[in-house]
Amino acid sequence: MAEPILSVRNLNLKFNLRGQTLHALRDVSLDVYQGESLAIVGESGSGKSVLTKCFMGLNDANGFIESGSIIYNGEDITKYKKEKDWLRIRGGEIAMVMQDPMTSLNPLRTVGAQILEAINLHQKGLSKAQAKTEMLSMLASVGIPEPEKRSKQYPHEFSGGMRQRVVIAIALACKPKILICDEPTTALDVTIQAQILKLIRDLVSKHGITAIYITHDLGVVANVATRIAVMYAGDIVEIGTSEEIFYDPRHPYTWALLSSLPQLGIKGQKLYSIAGTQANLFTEVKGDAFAPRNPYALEIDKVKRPPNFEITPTHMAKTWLLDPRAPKLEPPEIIQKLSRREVDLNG
Amino acid sequence: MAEPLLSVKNLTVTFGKHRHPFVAVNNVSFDVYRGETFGLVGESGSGKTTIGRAIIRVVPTAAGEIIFDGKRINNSISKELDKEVTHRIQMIFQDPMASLNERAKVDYIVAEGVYRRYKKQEREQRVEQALKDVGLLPEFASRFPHEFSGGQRQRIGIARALIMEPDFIVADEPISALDVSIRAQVLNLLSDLQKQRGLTYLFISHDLSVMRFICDRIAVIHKGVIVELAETETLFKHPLHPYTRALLSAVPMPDPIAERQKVLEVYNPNVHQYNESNAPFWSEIEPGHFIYASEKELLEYRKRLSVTK
Ligand SMILES: Nc1ncnc2c1ncn2[C@@H]1O[C@H](COP(=O)(O)OP(=O)(O)OP(=O)(O)O)[C@@H](O)[C@H]1O
Ligand SMILES: Nc1ncnc2c1ncn2[C@@H]1O[C@H](COP(=O)(O)OP(=O)(O)OP(=O)(O)O)[C@@H](O)[C@H]1O
Ligand SMILES: [Mg+2]
Ligand SMILES: [Mg+2]
Repeated sequence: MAEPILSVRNLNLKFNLRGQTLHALRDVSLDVYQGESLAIVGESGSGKSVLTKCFMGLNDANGFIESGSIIYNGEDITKYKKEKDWLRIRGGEIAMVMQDPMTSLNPLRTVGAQILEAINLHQKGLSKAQAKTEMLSMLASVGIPEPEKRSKQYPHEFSGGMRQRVVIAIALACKPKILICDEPTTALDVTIQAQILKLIRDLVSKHGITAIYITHDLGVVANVATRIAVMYAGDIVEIGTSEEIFYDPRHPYTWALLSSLPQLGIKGQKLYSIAGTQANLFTEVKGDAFAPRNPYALEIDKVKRPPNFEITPTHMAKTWLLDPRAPKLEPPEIIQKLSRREVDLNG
Repeated sequence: MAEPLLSVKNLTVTFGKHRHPFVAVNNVSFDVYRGETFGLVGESGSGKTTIGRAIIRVVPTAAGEIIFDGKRINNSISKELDKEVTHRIQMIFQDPMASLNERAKVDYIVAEGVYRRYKKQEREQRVEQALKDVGLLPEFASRFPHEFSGGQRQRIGIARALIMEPDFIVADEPISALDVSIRAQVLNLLSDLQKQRGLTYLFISHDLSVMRFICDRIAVIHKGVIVELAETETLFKHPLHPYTRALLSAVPMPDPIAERQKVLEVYNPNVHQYNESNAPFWSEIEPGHFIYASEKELLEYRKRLSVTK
C-alpha cells in the first residue's frame, strides 16, 4: 500500500458536559493512505463525525484532545492552537461535506455566492468571469438543473437533496487533498446518488484525492470504498479491505451490523437489531465495550479490553474471539451466507 | 382497508411570485388507507417534503383538496379542526438540526407538544419512555441538540412526534441518519405502534430497501408528478415507468461484487415524446397499479405485463 497521508495515534477525545466528561474517542489509531477511499461505518454516536472533525479542528469548544497525535504533512495537528493554523488546512488541504447540509450553508447568502467564495479562496488567479463559469459548472456537475437561475436562490428555496449537492459543490471547489464526506448522499434519490458517487470517484482518481466516506448505507460503502473501518463506542473495532469486511467479517459487532440489513428482513416480521443500549461513555468502559450486547462474549471480554488481532496484513479486529486460546466459533448462519454471496439481495 | 384516512386530490402547490409561480407539486392525487404505510419515493426536489408540509398545514395549497378523516383540512379551516389536526397529524422532519430548537434541552423539545396535556411527573415519565423507545438513554434528556450525533438528533425528532400519540405520521426521511441496527429498531417500533394503535404512515425515503420492507404501497414521484403507484411487491417486480425502472436499477447493494457489475438504467424524459395527440394521463393499468402514460405507452406496458406475468 502507498504511504499514509494522515496518521492518527492513540487519540483520546473528551467532551465536558456540565460537570461530566464524555469519552468520545477512546484511544483511536488509524492510517489513511494517499489515494484510497476509506469508508467509516458504525454505530450512531460511535465517534465517526468527531474523529474526522479532529482532522480539521472543527469540534465544539467543549471538546478537547486529552492525548494522542494526528500527523499530517509531518506536523502533529493536534498541537494547533490558533485558528490561523487551521485555516491553512481547512478547505485547501482537507475539505468536508457535513452531515447536516443546512448547518453548513449560510441562509442569508445565495447559493452561487457561497460556491464563488470557495472558488476565490482556493483556486487563485481566476478572473471574475472565469470564477463564475467555474461556479456554474460546479452546480451543473452536481446535477442542479438551470444553474444560472438556481445560483441566485437562497438555501431555503432548495430541497433537502439539492442543498446537500450544493455542499458537495463547495467542498469540491476547494480542490482539497483529502475529501471527507459525512453522509454525502443520504438526502438524494438513488439515481442522483449514483451520479454523485461517480462524480466524487472520478474526481478522486483524476486528482489523486484521498476520500473518507462516513455513511450508514452499506450499499454506498460497497460502491465506493476500497477499505472499511468499523467503529463502536469511540473506537475502531475492525478494519480491512472492502472484500474482507463484507465477505469475511470477524468482529461480532460487524456481524450484528450486517445482520440488521433491511434486505435480509421478511415483511411482517421483526428485523434483526442489536439488543441492549449503546455503551454509556460518561463512565469508563470496562473490558470490551460491546460485551454487554454481544451474545458471543467471553469471560475475558468483561474484564480486559481486546487488543488488535491481525487476520491479514490489511485486516484487523479487536475481539478476544481471535485469540488463539479462544474457543473456535463459526459466524452466524446469515453472515456465512452473505460471505458466500448466497443471499438474494434483490428480493 | 377500504377507507382512506387521508385523501390528496389534485393537489397543486406553488412557490414564488404570483406572476412567475414555481409549481412544486402538480395535480397530485393519492389515498392513504387507515393502518397502512404508504411510501413516497422520487427524485430529489420532486415535491415530497412539500406534500408532507401541505398535509400538516405549513404551506398553503394553490389548488386541490386534502381530506383527513372525512374533513377538508387544507387552506382555511375552523380553529377546532386546526387544533384537532395539529394533534392527530405529526411530521418527522428530514433535516433534524434545522427542525429542533437549538436553545432548548432535549426534555423540553420532546415534551413541547404535550406540555399542557400532562402534569410534570407524568410528562417526565413519558419523555423517558419516548427516549427509550427510540434507543436513547434517559441521561440525554438534559442535553442540547448540538451535543448529539446526527443519528441521535434524528431520534429526538422521532420521539417528539411519537409522544403526541398521533394517528397519522408523515415521516420524512426518518431513518436516513441512523445506523442499520438502530434503523431496524426504529422500523420495528414503527410497525409495533402500527399494530397496537392502528397508526397510519406516509413514509418518505430514498432508501428503497427500507421502503420495500416497510411500505404496503408506494408512489413514485418525478418533478412534482406521480408517475407510478402500486403495491410494493408489484412495483419492485413489474416496474413500468422508465423513471421507476431507473430508480430500481440504481439501488446500492451491500455487496462489492454486485456493485461493480451493476448496470444502471438512465431515465431520459425525452423518450416519451409526448405531444397533443400522444398526451399522458393517470390510469389504472391493472388492479391497484396506476401509471402516468399515454395511450401508446399503455399498449406497450400492457404487453410487457402479460409477458412477465
Ligand atoms: N459538543 C458535544 N458535546 C458533548 N457531546 C458531544 C458533542 N459532540 C458530539 N458529542 C458526542 O460524541 C459522540 C460521538 O458523536 P459523533 O457525532 O462523532 O457520532 P457519529 O458516529 O458521527 O454518529 P452518527 O452516525 O449518528 O452521526 C456522541 O455520543 C455524541 O453525543
Ligand atoms: N420555501 C420554498 N420556496 C421556494 N421554493 C421551494 C420552497 N420549498 C421548496 N421549494 C422548491 O420546491 C421543489 C420541491 O421541494 P421539496 O423539498 O418538496 O422536494 P423533495 O421531494 O422533498 O426533495 P428531497 O428528496 O431533496 O428532500 C424544489 O424545487 C424546491 O427548490
Ligand atoms: Mg455523524
Ligand atoms: Mg425532502
